[in-house]
Amino acid sequence: MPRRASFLLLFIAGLVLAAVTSLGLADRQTAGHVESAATFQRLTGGFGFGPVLDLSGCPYQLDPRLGTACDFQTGPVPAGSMFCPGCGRSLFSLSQTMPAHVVVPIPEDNVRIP
Amino acid sequence: MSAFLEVVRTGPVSVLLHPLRSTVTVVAVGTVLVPYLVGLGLVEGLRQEAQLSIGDGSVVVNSGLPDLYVSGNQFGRRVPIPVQAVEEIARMDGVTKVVSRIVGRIPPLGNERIEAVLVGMPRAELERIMGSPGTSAQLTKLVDGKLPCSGTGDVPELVLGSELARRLDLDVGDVLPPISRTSGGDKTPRITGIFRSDISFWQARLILTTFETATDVFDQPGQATDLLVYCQAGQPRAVENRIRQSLAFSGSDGTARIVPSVTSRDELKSMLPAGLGHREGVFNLHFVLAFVVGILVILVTSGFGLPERRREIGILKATGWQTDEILLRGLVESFLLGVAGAAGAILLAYAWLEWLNGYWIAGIFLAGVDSNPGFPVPYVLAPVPILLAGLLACVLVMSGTAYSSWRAAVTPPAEAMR
Repeated sequence: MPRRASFLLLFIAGLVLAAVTSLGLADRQTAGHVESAATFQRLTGGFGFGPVLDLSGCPYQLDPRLGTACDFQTGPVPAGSMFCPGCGRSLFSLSQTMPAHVVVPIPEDNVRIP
Repeated sequence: MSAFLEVVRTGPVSVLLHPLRSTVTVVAVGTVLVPYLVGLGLVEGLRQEAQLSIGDGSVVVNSGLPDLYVSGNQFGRRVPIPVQAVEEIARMDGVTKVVSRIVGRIPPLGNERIEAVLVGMPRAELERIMGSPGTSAQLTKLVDGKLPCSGTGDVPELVLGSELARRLDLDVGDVLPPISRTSGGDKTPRITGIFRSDISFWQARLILTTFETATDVFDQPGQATDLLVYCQAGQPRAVENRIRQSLAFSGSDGTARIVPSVTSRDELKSMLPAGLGHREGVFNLHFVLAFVVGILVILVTSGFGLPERRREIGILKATGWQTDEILLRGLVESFLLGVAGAAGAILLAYAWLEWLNGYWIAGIFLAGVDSNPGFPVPYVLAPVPILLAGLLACVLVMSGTAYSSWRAAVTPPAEAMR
């Protein structure tokens, strides 16, 4: 194999090694961050859930514990959530879901059936 | 076997034969992959932060976070709940502790009119957290200064988020103008601490104070925005049902009825995959389209526009190379280009998220965040998207070059060399 080709292989191997090292560094920082973030959450009783920082736009996107649904959601309009400054422009959005374990009570009849 | 290896060894030589084409291919792969990796890194980062905020056991063990969040409900909307509910819920079987909390929006601060969220936790609860042995050591890593301990009627003590402190140019010991005019008179709040920027991005515009001070600031005595309910193991579902069935209050005028609205941790957990997964799917769909365009671009740059490549394959065929050997050579070449492109993209994505702190792209994905965020953006470069990106890079380059190589390889050498 020519020397230039060997250098190329070494260069690509070095690139892969650098990429793996960067992933390792990122993972180590993540592990350290988890501990302090958990303490912060304990201090505030659990705060924040979505990609929003304050309550000026859509409280539901900051934290669904603070609101029941997006105030700007236009429902049946196609892409209606795009009208919300919190939901529309973000990669992340929290749609309201019915959890699997919730049992919906059977409604009582208005008129007693004879 | 040695013949196979000999053909494989010609792959790197083939990469060097057309340096411009190889460079363009690696750059094209990187251009498609870098935003993809950065976007997915931000999704995973936010997912991890959200899991921490609800005490998901898969991320943090024994989080010490409440099992249920109880607020009032009128017309299907969340409303404050009377503090008297604390005692009623605390008496229920299976409940270990109930803590009242206020979360509210305060008028914009400073000349820049910066939005902030005020969170009030009971002074006793903050003192308990400060006193607990595991947490007290952690607090020094959390806050520069000390936690607030102001009581009712005292001068408000606040801990400011890092972005608020930076933009308002405030430090520990400084004072803020009165936040709102209340019946108790204006009091000038004092800053006792500032959150460190790296703990969580939700601290950026947060102001933490005591529940008593928050009550004064909003002038809403006897009200809490939500109650944090801690339950015995295995009891949250039963407690939730008891609260729904037995708790109801009348409003201050004695007529309006407030029913409880309960949010459990399981409910919050179920929102994560649905919400983030949906948008992640849309994001992936866009990049599938980007990959399709990328394949076409590489197809054009690698095969159709390079008659030299046809001639080169024609010469190889004329000197005795078989079609499968030529394809193998092309695959090794594509694999090397794909790996180089993917590794370069991972490095660039890491640099963008870590060293450039998601400059510009964080402002697109996180609502209300400047193009240059004042806090470390949350990101996780998870192994699955990384492996997927590497695989996609190789498939992208291979599908771009394999067809053109095959077309040239099955053409009679005399015609290919022409």
